[in-house]
Amino acid sequence: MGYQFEWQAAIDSIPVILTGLSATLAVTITVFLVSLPFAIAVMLARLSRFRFLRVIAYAYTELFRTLPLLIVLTWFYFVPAIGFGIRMSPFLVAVVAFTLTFTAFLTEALRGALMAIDPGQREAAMSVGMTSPQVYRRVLIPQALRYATPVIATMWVSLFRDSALVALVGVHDMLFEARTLAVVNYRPIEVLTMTGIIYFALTYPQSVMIERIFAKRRVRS
Amino acid sequence: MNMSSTTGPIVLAEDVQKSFGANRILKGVDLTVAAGEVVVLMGPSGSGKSTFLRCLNRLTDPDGGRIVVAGSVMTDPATNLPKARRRIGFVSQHFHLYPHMTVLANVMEGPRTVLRVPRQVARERGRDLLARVGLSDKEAAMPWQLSGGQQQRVAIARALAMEPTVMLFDEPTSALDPELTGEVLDTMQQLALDGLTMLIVSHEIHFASRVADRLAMFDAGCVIEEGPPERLLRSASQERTGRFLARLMSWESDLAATSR
Repeated sequence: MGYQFEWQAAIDSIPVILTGLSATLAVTITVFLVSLPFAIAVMLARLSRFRFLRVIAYAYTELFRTLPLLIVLTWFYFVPAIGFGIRMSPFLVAVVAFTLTFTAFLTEALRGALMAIDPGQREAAMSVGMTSPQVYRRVLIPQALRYATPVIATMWVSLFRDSALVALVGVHDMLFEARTLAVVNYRPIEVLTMTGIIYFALTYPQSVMIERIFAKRRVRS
Repeated sequence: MNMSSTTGPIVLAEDVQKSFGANRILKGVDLTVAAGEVVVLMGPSGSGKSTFLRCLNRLTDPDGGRIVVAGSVMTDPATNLPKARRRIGFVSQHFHLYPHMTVLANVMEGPRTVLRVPRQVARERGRDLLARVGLSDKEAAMPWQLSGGQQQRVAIARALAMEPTVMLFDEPTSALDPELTGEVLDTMQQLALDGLTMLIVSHEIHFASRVADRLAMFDAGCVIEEGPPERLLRSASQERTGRFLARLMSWESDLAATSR
């Protein structure tokens, strides 16, 4: 009631918040690039003929799909340092926690895509004499990646947005810079509002672009 | 075409058995195919002919019996199946081209990945084969841009690229519109004239009578009769064979009449 929203403070905060953009991007890109090969590996483990690998992969994906990311993040912030004396940089803590969670979701997206491939594809590849690894490498995984691309693209956008959580473990991303500024200028509402606007301005175009791209080139079989 | 230098049969199947649950699909099938022979497997659906064909390259595992194809004992657990399959071409009902590759890449994939043929050589061979199935102008197309008949001809070229000793066709035209079956059957007839050994599951009786050296009639999991098509078509010794063939022929002429 009667709060005087100072637009000038909000506008002034823009360059400060944007100093965190490089960290936001670094976390998002690193997690994405590291997760993709891991997710393929975990997916293959889930389909392995070795029960041991299947159980491990299953337990991993189910665990990290159910744990709140904030818990994983703070766990990796405190436990290795306090429990084992392992010092990790805030960036590393963020990347480890995010990668573990993101890989679990990515695995499921890829596995779903792999299941959607006609069994005839596998048979066609086997019929020319491909071994099982060749069938996966040349025929099944490339198709699974294509089928899963719209989902993966959407997951990228969520990852970009959710990366704001890393501010909590001291990575100097956009939200971290915003909170630091708010402490100094006593204008948390203006600064947080502007941070929200910036996230929207950066995320929405990505979302629209992805929709455009995948509306045009649907996967066909 | 790669004619096998080995004498003796290309395909030898003895007492092949297969059940799916309580359902006995194959009750002891025997069949021998010599080099250069074209054998068409006919019979009502559910009679086991497709299952039998898939047992030959072990896409399906038989429960019993012995199968030798192109010199490999397919029923021996010690046999390296991927290696044995290189010499056994397989064409399925639904083509199953790799949707993420161009037509030419589909044909090159086996030689490249399995045989490690240099790219240049695989490309030339691929182009030759596409010319042979009449699709030279489609090499850069993606599979979904082709008609069913064209896709099936690419699938045939893809199988031929491995220079197989024998080709297995599992109802190659039954997923096609009637007006597209001709181009696929013509391609297959040309392969037969070139001396390729072929086993074909098909309901196309006129094609069979023109191309087959031998028909094998399946019924309820057994080969009930086999012999040259002209003999079977004229005077089937088994009543069931005669009835089945008569029905196919009248159905086909009905179809020909209505499509005119």
